Formats: sequence, C-alpha cells, structure tokens
Amino acid sequence: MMQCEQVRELIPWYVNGTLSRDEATLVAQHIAQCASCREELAQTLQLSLKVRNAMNDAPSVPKRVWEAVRTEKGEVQLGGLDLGSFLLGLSLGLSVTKRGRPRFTSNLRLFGRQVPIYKTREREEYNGKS
Amino acid sequence: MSHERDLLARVAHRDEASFQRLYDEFATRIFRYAITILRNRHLAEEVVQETMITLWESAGTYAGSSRVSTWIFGIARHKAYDILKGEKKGGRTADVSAVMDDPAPAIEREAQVHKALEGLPPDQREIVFLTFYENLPYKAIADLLEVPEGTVKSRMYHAKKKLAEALS
Repeated sequence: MMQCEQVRELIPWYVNGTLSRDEATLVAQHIAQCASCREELAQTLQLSLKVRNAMNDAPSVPKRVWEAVRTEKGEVQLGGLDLGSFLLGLSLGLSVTKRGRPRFTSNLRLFGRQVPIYKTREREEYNGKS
Repeated sequence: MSHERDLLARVAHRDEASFQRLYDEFATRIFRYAITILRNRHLAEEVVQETMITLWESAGTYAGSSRVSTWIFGIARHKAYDILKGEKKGGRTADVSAVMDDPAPAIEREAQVHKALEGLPPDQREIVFLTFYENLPYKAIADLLEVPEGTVKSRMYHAKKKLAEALS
C-alpha cells in the first residue's frame, strides 16, 4: 500500500489521466481508504478545472503569425542592414518569396524594447478586431 | 502511426497542407505555453513563428522516441528561453500586462486564476500548464524540462500549495 505522501505526489497526474495502469491502481486503492487523500484529490480536480478554464480563455495566436510563417518559409533572404545602438535600433531587410515577389521588412527598437510597426489591419487585430 | 506523427512525416516531405494542419493544431497551444514562460504576447508570437519555421525545416529530424507534442514543446521551450535570456541581458522585464489585455471578457473568476498563476515562479507555472492544460505525464514533463521526475513532482507540490492559498 502506498503512503499518503507518495499518493499526493501522483494525484495531479491521476487527475490528468496519464499515470501508468499500475500507478493509477495503487492511487485508486489508497484513495478508497483515505479520506484526507480523497479531499486532496477533490481539491486538485477543482484546481485542474480552474486552470483549464483560465487557459482556454487566454488569447489565441493572432492570424498575422500564420501569414508571417508562410512568408518566411517561402522566402530567400537577399540582405539586411542594422543601424543604431541599444537605445535606438533600426533593422531593414529585403527578401524575395519563391514566387519572386520582393518583401521589405523593418524592425524598430527603442530603449531596448521592440516597437511594433504594423499595418492598419494588424493594429486592428491587437485592438480586438481580429 | 498517430495522427500527429503522420502529419509530421508529411511535413518532412514538404507537404504544405499538412504543415498548415500542424500549425492549426499547435500554434495557439505553443502561444499559450510561450506566454506562460515569457508573460509577453509579442514575444510569444515570435516563439510560435520560430518554432513553426523550425518544424518546417527540421520535421525530418524527429526521432520518434517521444510524443510529437513533447518534441514540439521542447523546441518552443528552447526558443522561449533563448528570448528570455536575451531579454534579461537587455535589462528588460516581461510585459505582464500584455498577457491578459485581450478584449475578450475574461470573467472575474478566471482572471483570479491568471493572477494566481502569475504569482508562481516560472518553473512551477510551466509544470502546472503542462500538467493541467496539456495533460502531459510527469515523465514527459521531466524529459521536456530536462530535470528528474522527483523535481517535477516537488515543483507541482509547491505550486499547488501556493495556488490553493492564492485562490482561497
């Protein structure tokens, strides 16, 4: 028979259903006889649901990321230029897609923090219109 | 072959449709995982982008010894920590306010959970996410984090204790 401490360590993974069959059986046998570990199981189940609900409510990846991935995987870098210092940095890049379409990229950093340079549509996504 | 392994094998053969399906399945999960580590949505977008490009270029290197999701989260984790190291070197901190400023109305109860999660150290927060949201076994989490299984269990123990206090 497992001790309470060992069971409590395994309870989070008993809750998410990923213990081996042997481990799950041992936990189940212990819980059937131990009120305090049953209480721990109930609390962990509740916590797991709260975390899951909260994460489901977290933001989804914006659509522009797929566009960026699709562009990046199909393009050949022609060249780039970095200007500035830590306080103010500007990067300019020129690449070409597989279809031969040139693409200009830019990146501005101010006081070490990236300042987004987005098109109007992308700004709207950040403002919740995506 | 599992659905995810099948998708990855097709991506290794440059199948664009499978790549898009892989993106659809994983992008938001990677995004939320990266937010868990970085606490910054803009940086989390970078992680998604870089992880997906790595998948496109290196899908053929998947050895099949772990779950596909564990392998993908491993790539994302390295990208996130590379960014985190760079951010720390630059003297910058994560933009916590950027995590939950989404206009979608988070109900108060869920906002409280997010606040409680933010109060955890990153290594505990990550384990809570991987266990309760991604449903990974503790052995897979130990592999992913490159720590002993006992460390995963002990971080979870401390995380649960802090969350219970914060949410009581």
